[in-house]
Amino acid sequence: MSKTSPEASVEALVRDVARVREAVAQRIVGQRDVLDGTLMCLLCGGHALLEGVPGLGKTLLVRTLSQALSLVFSRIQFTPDLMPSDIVGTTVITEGREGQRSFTFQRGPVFANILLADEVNRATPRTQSALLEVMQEHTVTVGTQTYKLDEPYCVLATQNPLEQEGTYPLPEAQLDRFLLKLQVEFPSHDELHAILDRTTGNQDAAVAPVLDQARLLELRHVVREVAVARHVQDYAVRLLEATHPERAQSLPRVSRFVRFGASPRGAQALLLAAKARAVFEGRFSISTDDVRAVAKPALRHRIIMSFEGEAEGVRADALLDDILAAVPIGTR
Amino acid sequence: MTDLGPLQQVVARTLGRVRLQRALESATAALALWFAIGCGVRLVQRLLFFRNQNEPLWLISFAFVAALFAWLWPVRRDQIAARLDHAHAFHDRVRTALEFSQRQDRSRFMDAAIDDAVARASTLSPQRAAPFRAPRARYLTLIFGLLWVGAGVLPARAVKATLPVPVARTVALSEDELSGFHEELAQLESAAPITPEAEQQRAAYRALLDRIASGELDRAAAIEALLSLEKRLLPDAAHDLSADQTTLAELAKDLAKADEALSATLSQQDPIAAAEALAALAKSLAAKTESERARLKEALARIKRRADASEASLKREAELKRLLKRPDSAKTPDEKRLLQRNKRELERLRRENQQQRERSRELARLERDLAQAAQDLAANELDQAENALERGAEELKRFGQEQGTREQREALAKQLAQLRELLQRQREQDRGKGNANKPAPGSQQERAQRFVMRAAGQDPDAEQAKLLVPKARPKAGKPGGEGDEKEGGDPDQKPGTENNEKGKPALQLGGDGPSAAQIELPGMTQGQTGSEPRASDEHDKRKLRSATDIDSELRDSQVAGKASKGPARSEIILDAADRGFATASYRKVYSDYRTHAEEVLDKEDIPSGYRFYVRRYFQLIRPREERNVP
Repeated sequence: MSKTSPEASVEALVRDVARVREAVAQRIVGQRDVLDGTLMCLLCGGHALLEGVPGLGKTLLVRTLSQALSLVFSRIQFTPDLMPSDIVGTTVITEGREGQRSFTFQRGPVFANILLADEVNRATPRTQSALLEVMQEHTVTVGTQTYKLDEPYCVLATQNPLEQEGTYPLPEAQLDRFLLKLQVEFPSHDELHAILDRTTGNQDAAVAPVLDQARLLELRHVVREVAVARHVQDYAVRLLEATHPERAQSLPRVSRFVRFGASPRGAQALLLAAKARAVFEGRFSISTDDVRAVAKPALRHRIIMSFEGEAEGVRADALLDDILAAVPIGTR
Repeated sequence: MTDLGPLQQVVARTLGRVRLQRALESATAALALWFAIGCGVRLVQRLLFFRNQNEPLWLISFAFVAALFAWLWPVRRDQIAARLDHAHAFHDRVRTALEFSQRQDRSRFMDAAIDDAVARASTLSPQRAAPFRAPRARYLTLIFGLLWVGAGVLPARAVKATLPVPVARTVALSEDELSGFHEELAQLESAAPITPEAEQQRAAYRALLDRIASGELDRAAAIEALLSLEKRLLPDAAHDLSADQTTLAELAKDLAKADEALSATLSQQDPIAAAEALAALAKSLAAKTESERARLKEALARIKRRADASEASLKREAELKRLLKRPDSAKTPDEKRLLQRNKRELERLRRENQQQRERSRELARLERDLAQAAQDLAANELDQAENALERGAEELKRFGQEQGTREQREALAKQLAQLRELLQRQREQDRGKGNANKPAPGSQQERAQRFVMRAAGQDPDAEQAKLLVPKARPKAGKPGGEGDEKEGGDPDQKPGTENNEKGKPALQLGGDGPSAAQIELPGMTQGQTGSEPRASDEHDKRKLRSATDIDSELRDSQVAGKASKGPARSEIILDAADRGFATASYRKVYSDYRTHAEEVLDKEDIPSGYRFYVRRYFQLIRPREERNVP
C-alpha cells in the first residue's frame, strides 16, 4: 500500500509509465495509443481486445510489454479445434517414482500474468466461454478444484476484422469483459521505414524490465485513488445512457442502428480508463476530456448493432462520434 | 484546508465580466426592441392618427432595466469554472476543485486536486475566459435606431378628409304632379291681371317647372325657387303695404279714442256722454274725405285678398312639401330605370295574356273539332272524322310549337286516346264482320290511323303494327307462327307466359302476315316482349335444350380440374411455418433456396454484413433433424 503523498505517487507513476513506454518503444514503432490502452488495462485490472489486420505487431507489442513489466507471458493461438482443456489445463495421470499413478492437474497457458489470445474469434464458443471465468474471476475451475491466477492478470486478445469465414464472433457477454477494445492502426510512412530498419537486420533490441509485479500492483492502487468529480461522473453516465436506443432522448441514428446499448460495465470502464489516463498525465482527478478520450475504446465493443446497422455497415465509432458531439459536457 | 482565495478571486472576476457582458447584450437587445416598437408607434401616429406626438424619452430607460435585470440574474459558479477550464485547457481542474471544496469527505487525491488547481490559479486569466465582445444585436439596434429617428422626423400626414362626392338630388316629380303645377300656373294666368311683371314671373315659373321636370334642380333649390316665384306671382304683392298699414293705424287710432270715450261714459252710466262720444266718432268718420274713405276701403279689400292668397299659398306650399318629402330611393335614376323595366315587363305580360287568350280560343275550337270527330266516328263517318282529326292534329302540332301548357297537352292526349279507343272499337266491329273492313292502303281509314300515330308522336310506318290492334289475345305456341289465331298450344305453358312474366301477355298480331310481330302494350315493361333476347342467346345463338331434345344444338359437358403434383412451394413453406418443420418437402425446398442463395452470395458483390445475415437467416430456418420430425 502506498503511503506516500498523492503528488509523489502520481509523479512516480508518471515516471514509471514513461519508462515502460521507452522500453517498449525500443522494439515497437509507433502504436502509442495501443500501448497506452494496454497499459491502462494493466493498471486498471482489465483486459484488452486488440483488433487489427495481421502483421501490425500486436503479438510483438504484447510480448514486449510483458518483458518490460517482468510478467509471465503466455500465448494461445486460437483455432476452431481448440478445446477448453487446451487453454485452462487438464488432469492427467502421472506415475510417481514408486510406480503409483495419480491424477495431476496440468496447468494450461492461461496461468500467466499476460495472456495473449491470438485470433480469439477463431475458437468455438465453447472454448471462448472457457475464458469467461478466467477474465472475470481470475480463477480456473477444473472439476471441483479452483485455481487462482497470479496478479496482475491481463488477457490481451486479438482478432482479425477482415476474415469472417470460419470465425465465431465473440458473444456479447465475453465482449463486455474486455475493458477496452483497441484498434491497431496501420503505421505511417515514417513508422514503416523505422519498422523495416529495425526488423530486417541482425540486431534484435533487447527489452530490459523496468517494472515488476509488485510495482505494478502499487500503480494499480494509485490509479484507483484518482478522484472523480460529480459532474465528470455525470457526464460518463449520460454518455452511457446515450448509447441506449430505447431512451426518449436518444439520437435518431442510435435508435435506428443500435439494438442494445452499453452495460454498466461500460461506465465502469469509462471511469477506470479515464482515471488511468488522468494519472498518466499527472493529474489527481479525471476530467470530461479524459472521459471523452476513452469513450470509444471503452464503449465501441459494448454497443450491439441492429440488423439494419450491420447491413448498413454502420460502425460503432461513428455512432460514438455522434454521441460525443450531441451530449453536452456541462451539467444538465 | 487549502485556501481557495486565489481561485475564487479569479472566478469572481470572471463572473463579473460575464455579468457585464450579459448586461450589455440584454441592454442592446432591449434597445433594439425599444427602437423597433417606437418606430412602429411613430409611423402609426403619423400615418394613421395624423399626430406628431413622440413617446417620452424616459421610456428608453427600459433598456437600462433590462441590463440591470441581466446583471442580477443568477450565474452558476460551476459554469464560470467550466469556462475557465475550457479557456485554459485545465482539464476541469477549477470546476473539480470548487466541487471538491464543498465536500466534507474529501480523499487525499481530492485535496491534491484542490491544491493543484489553486497552485495554477495564477495562470488563469478572466479576460481569456470571458472576453468582452461587441453585442450581437448591435447592428439591429443601429438599424432600428435610425428608423426610429427617421420616423420622428417624418411629418404627420395632413388631414385630408375625403368628403362624399356631392350628388345632386334632383326633384323627381311625376307627370301628373308636373301637370298639376302647370294647371296651377294656368289658373294663376286666368285669375290675375296680366301685367308685364306677372308675365315675366309666369315665364320664370314655367321655366322652373321645365327644369324640375328635366331633373336639373335638387330638392332645396326647387323648393326655394317655387316659393319665391309663387310669392312674386301673387297679385298685389308689389303693392306698398306701409300705406295701407298707416291708413288702418289712423282708423284704429280714431276708433280707439271713440272706444275709450264710450267706455268712460258707459262706466259712468252717462248715456248723454255716450251719445256725444258716438256722435263725435261719426263726425270724425264723416269728416274724412271721399278719397280717404275710398283708400281705406281699397286697403281693406287688398288685405282681404292678400289673406286669401296667403291661405292658398300655404296650402300650395304644404302640398309641395308633401310631394318633396317622398323617399329619395323612389326618385333616383335607378328607380326610373326600374320603373321603365317594370313597365316593359307589364307590357310583355299584357301581350302574353293576350296570346294566352288566343290560345284558349284555339283550344276551344280544337276541342270542338275533336268532339265533332268523335261524333263522326261514333256515326261511322270516318271521312269526317279523319278531316276533324287531321285538323286537330295540325292544331295540336301548332299548339305544341307554341308551347301550350302541360294540362292542355294532357287533356288533348287524353282526347286522342279516347279517339284511338273509339277507332279500335270500330275496327273490331269491322273485324267482326270479316276482313272486308280492313283499311285499304291509302284509304281514309288508313289515313286516320296514320294520323292518330302521328298525333301520338310515333312513326306510322314503323309502328303501324302497334297501332292497329284489332285483336289483343295472349300468344300461345311457338313464336313467329303464321298468325292462325289459334289459342292454346303447349298445355304446360300458361297462355301468354312464354318468354314473359305471368299475367303480362305478349300479343301477336293477327292477320295473314308472314311473321306477326310481337307488340308491346301500354304498361308492359321492357324485357317483357316475346322478342326480348334470352340470356342464353346473347352470345351464342344456338339453343341449349334438354339432352333428349333432338332439336338441341348444344349439349352440357363437364370440364375436369387439372391434376397437379401437389402443393406449391409457398404452400409448403407456409405449412412448415404453421406447424413447425414437419415435412420432408420443406427440407427439399430449403435446400433449393439455400443453394440458390449461396450461389448468389458467391457471384454477387454483397456487403459482408448482408452476407452474414443471409447465412444467419438460413441457419435459423433450417429444417430440424430427422429424429425431430414428427
